[in-house]
Amino acid sequence: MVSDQITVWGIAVLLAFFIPIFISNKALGLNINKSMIIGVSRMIIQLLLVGVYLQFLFNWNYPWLNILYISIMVAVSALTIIKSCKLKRSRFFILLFAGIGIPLLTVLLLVTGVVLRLDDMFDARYMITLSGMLLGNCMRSIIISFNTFYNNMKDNEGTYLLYLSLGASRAQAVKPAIINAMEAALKPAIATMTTIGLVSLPGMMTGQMLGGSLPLTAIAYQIIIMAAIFILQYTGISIMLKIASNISFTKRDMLKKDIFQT
Amino acid sequence: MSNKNVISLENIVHSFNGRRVLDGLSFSVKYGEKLIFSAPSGYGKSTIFNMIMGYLQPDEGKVIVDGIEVTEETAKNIRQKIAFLPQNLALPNISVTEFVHMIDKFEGNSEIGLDMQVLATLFSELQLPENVCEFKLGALSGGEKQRLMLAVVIALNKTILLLDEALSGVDFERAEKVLNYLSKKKDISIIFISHDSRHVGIGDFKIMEVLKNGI
Repeated sequence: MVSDQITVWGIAVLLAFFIPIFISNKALGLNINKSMIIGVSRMIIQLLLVGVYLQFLFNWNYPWLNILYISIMVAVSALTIIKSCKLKRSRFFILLFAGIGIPLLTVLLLVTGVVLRLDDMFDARYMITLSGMLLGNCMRSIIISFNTFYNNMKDNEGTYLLYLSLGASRAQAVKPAIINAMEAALKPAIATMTTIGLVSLPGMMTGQMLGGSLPLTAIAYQIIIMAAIFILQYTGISIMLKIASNISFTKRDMLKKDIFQT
Repeated sequence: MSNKNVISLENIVHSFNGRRVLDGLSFSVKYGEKLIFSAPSGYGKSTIFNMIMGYLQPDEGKVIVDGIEVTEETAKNIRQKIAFLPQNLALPNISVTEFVHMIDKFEGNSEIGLDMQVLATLFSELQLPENVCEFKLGALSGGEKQRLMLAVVIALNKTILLLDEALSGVDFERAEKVLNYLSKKKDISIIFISHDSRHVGIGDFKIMEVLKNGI
């Protein structure tokens, strides 16, 4: 028995439906069986491990341990962004760690302390679960914004130089690339907020209701989560693009080549 | 005309990917002087402009603008004295009005700003469409973009103009008018890259001496 309703047998029945999918893939010549097996296995193992150590974290509930755990999550996010955007780790890691970590902690404390008015603002059950949701979204937005910003700078170097040549400061000359990057990163979040409840029910809300919460309670939490995600995305992107536009250029205002992985 | 050098390049050496593009180049432009710079492509003309603007550091030698050596520290301030019109115009697709207002607000133009009267006169002189301000930049032809940008850089009232093939899309009669107009501006120093030999001798525009010996 995994919970009141879910049994290992029940999960196994659902997973058994992967077998005809594997057979179908083979028949179609769709060469994804190996990656599917690895994907499903990793999902089960990773989630089981998360379940085990989250149980320990929830039981211990030491604020310093919670902060340490969140710091590790932020560090992994920073490394993922660096890898996805092909940037130099030595130049970006600390900036990303601080640029994501500080706004994350601020938004977390705002939610736990002011919105939810918890007695223990560092309660693991809230802090760690909220961090996971907030960080995942923030990380995706920063990856989109960085890729858009640097691609824009490379593709539109001529326009950037023209602006500088006509009297623009560097901040003025990079502004179009910053606007494009922010739009590209925030549009999916805005679209999600616009269609939520109509096109899809978010996973967290569905999970809460399946776990026995009242729909209105689940919805209230979902609104808080969506607002917190957007605030963190906006703040994280703004801070990181500001930092990127400061550290990515030489004193002569040329885009540095040595900030990218070779 | 004052004898003061506004731009000096001293023994400039520069290589790209192991190929030496400039080898000991020296020349100077005096206050108010208007020079035409004509050399085959690949001779590093745009490289020279990029060095004067402080975008590029020469491997050897010095670039001095208005008595100040162009370095990492001084490049930004020096750039504010210059309006540079590159050959390849990478313009955003916004309306001419938006573009003109954007340039007017650029930090380096905050003291004087765009002279809107001069701009309107030049739009007319350069025979741009009467309602050109309503056009999006992307809707203008190559020649119209070039004439528009030429009017903009002149109206910026900078003391140094660097024009890279700025009249290649302009017919000779109009080009002559523009060069004569610029010749009247005695306080502006100009380096004008042009492949059209007919431009030499119009108004105060002279061929650059250095070219007689090659770069």
